Amino acid sequence: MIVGELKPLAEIKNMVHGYRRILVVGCGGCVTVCQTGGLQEAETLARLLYMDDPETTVESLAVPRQCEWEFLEQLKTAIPRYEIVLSTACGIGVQAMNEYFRGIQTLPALNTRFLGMPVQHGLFVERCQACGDCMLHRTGGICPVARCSKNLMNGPCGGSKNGKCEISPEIDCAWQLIYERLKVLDQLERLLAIQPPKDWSHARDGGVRKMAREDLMLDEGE
Amino acid sequence: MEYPRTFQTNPKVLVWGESELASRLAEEIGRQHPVVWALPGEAVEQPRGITVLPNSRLIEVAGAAGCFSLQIETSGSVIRQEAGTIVVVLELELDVPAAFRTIEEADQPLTIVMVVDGVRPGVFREIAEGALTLARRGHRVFLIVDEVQVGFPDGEEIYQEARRAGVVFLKDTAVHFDGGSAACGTKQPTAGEETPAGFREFIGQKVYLDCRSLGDIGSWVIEADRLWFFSGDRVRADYRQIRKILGIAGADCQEYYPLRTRRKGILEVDPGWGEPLSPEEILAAVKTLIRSQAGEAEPVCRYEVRGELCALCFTCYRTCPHGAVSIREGAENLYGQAMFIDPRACFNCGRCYAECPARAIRLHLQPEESTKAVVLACENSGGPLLEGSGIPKLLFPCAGGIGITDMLRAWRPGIERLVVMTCRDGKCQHRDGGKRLKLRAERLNRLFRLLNNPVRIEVVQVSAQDRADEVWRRVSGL
Amino acid sequence: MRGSNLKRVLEEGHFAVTAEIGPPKSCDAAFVHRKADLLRGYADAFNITDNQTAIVRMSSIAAAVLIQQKGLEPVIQMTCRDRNRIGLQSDLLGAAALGIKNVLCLTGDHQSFGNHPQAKNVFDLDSIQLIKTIKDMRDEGRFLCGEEMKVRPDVFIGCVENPFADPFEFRALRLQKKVEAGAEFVQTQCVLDLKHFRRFMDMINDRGLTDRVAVLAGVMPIKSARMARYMQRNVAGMMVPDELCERLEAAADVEKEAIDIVVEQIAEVKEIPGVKGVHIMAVAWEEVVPEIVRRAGLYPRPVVND
Repeated sequence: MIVGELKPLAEIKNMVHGYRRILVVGCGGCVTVCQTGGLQEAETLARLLYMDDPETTVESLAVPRQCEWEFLEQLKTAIPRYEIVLSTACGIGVQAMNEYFRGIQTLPALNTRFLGMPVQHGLFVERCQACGDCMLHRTGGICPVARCSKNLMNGPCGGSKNGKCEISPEIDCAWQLIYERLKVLDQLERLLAIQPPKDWSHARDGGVRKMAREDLMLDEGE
Repeated sequence: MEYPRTFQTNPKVLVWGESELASRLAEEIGRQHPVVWALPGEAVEQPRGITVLPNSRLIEVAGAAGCFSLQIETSGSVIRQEAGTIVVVLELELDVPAAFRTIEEADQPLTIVMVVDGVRPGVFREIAEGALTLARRGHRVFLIVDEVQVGFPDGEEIYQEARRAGVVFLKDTAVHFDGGSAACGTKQPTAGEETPAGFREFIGQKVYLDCRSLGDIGSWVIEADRLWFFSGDRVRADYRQIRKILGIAGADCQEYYPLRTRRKGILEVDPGWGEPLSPEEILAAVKTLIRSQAGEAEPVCRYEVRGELCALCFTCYRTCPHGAVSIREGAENLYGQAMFIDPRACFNCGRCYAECPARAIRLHLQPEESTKAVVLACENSGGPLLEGSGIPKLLFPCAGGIGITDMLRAWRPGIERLVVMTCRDGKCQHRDGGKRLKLRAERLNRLFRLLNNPVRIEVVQVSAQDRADEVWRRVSGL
Repeated sequence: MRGSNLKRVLEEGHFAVTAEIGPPKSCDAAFVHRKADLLRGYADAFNITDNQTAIVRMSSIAAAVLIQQKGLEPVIQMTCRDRNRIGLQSDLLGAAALGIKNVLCLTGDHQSFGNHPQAKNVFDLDSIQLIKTIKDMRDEGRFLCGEEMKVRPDVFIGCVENPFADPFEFRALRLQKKVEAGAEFVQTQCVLDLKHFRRFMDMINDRGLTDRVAVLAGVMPIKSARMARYMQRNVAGMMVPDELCERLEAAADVEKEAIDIVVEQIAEVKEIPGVKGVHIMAVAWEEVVPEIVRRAGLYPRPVVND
């Protein structure tokens, strides 16, 4: 899932400064699951902003997924009543709102952090960097792109100690995990193969990415 | 989604445990209910009229009171068992009085070394009382204990009395004797044989004691006429595992023992705390509870999942202290599924409601938005204490179920202080409700500070014994 | 043009000495020249670090050229942190054109340790891929993309290895990967725990690696007991034995003790089969290198001819 985190409140306050009618729009997708942008958090933010200045009207709503035009349509009647929209969705939701509602600006209330999963209630950890060229089959199902601080491809660097990464004792060394996992899978020989430089053209480095299922797309003109 | 409002209660009772008491309970309950008796070992006796599953291991327990579904590995194969009630009798039979009877006839003072390890306080109490009796009769008694809790009624008195009568208590002590060595009574077990559970007796032994916490002066060599081991360690490990599977781990609210757990429909017989009950008393209590549960055909649950809003994030499932949440098919949302609060397991603690990030849980009989209240409290503790005070309040089924948005909604311009009332630390009947409430209040206060907003949420802890006028004073902030 | 002096010293079977020069945090060429004058003749080649610990300093190649002007042979360090495959290949061509003969390939410290923790890191290649890339440029005359080049960079390729990091069993295998990728010499992380280092050397001897790669054991004079304790606690991938800290703590003249310790360490690593030289890392304490080299009996350095 996409993990987001509430922006510093002062920054949000600055963004909406001067607006009298504010709508906070939550998203029922990933950010609900990661406890930062669902209806609960949208309402919390709305009430905090209202308390900050009771002269303003701040209301909250949520749609099942902010990244779908059809769900945004549900907001059509509500939107014109406000001067500004704050979105507690990820960056995709914020952009979808801006693309759909051209006449009103939607501002981000979250910082979109990473693609991850809850490893315990309330704790989310990165698992994928959308590099566009998955290599999990070679690394025992543990991603060195997302989980090694230097996204190394050929084993741990010299900073791996006691299973932890040199940059923080709170980060597991991905290559220690890979090593242990491959040992269990009896595939340690995989570590001996020299991995050639990765093709990053499928990652962000290749420019804006698209994914098309051409069998699902019809030409508008046809 | 339509939730079932009436329930079929399965009359079957599953009894788990290998002690004589378990066997007896199975047989007695079997006179009125269908009973399955599952036990880790072989059954010594075969009580009549009931199904016995020997060599069993509990794998999983799903469902709720009245409709549990258990996976049990028994004699090598995995079977599914349905039951309405689960009675757990975990204590290994330790026939303590039998040990003491062996020296009733002794005509001269004896030296007796007792090593006690991993027994529940109830058994420890019997041993300590026995030691006291022996010391009073003139025997020399050494009692080697692990981190023994005197957490049973009058435990401290018995302990002090035994000490005054001459019983020597030693903690953290390694025990060696010529017939072998034992891991009992020490945190660092001696290598060698594993101590078997139960009671063992050795006669005429030279015993070496090494009490680590006493350092150099902590070594004795004792010519012991009797060396007794009382150990329940294996049982204790099994017991922890089983409680985990049953989802009743962390149920440490002592007032409810010995017969109730934090999961409805599971009765835990004498886990060692509280006043020891006789088998007759236990039997009567278990029967009463089974009856009362059968009568509770339409349990009251004030919380309900609005399937159309549920994001299936598992927050409620993970935070419910009672194992009352599961997934149900047929919701009108993106997933066709939603979380479901089973009223047969729900204690109305409201944890799910307060934590739900989608606000998908509805509280029936939600307190009306008062235009005056600045106090949010639990209707069982805070509510009664505020009775007659004239302080406007909003009452929830439990303080642990007061959510962040509930606190924010109570605010109106001009208010700088909102009070949430909760039980004292460690007193929550729903595991960690007060703790979670405090975390919510702290988070809000942090956010207020970041906005330079003077409003603060104040957590006031109370208990039923508090004086009402005192509480009123604290709540009004005077 | 002359090839690498370090390579010839090793080929002729001498016990090699390399030392380290950290470029300044400014464009002060005189600073580099002073260091070069101080150290001339005391090592066969001198590593020029590449923004070590992710702190911005004069570029490794530029400082290397400055010490070349003073007649010293540089080993440029190249890390993968700040340049992608385009920058790395380009800089290597430039370095070779400037007469640089030795290159040491490293992954590089993470930027979070440095003075620009907000930086975006690159790590397009890792150190093993970099070694292979440079080897292919030199031996095949090809860029990473496969295109050919007219004049090939003739460099002696080195790598580093940390015998003290985890998983320990993998350390020898990792060195093997580096050797297979094309590394001809390896400088180890500084050896403070000899017992552990011997185990590592046994492992790489067993794999026959010491016949294929020249091992230069890293040594480091530690200036104070406090620094030793700090490294023991805080520096990932370093093993600092208690005895060493205690020796420094007990010493009346700590600096002298530090030098004594290094000289002893050099004598000990010299006896370990497969060790072909030492790499002296006197971080910000370069002035003690001459004394260490003299007292270790490694002065004067051999003069080798093409």
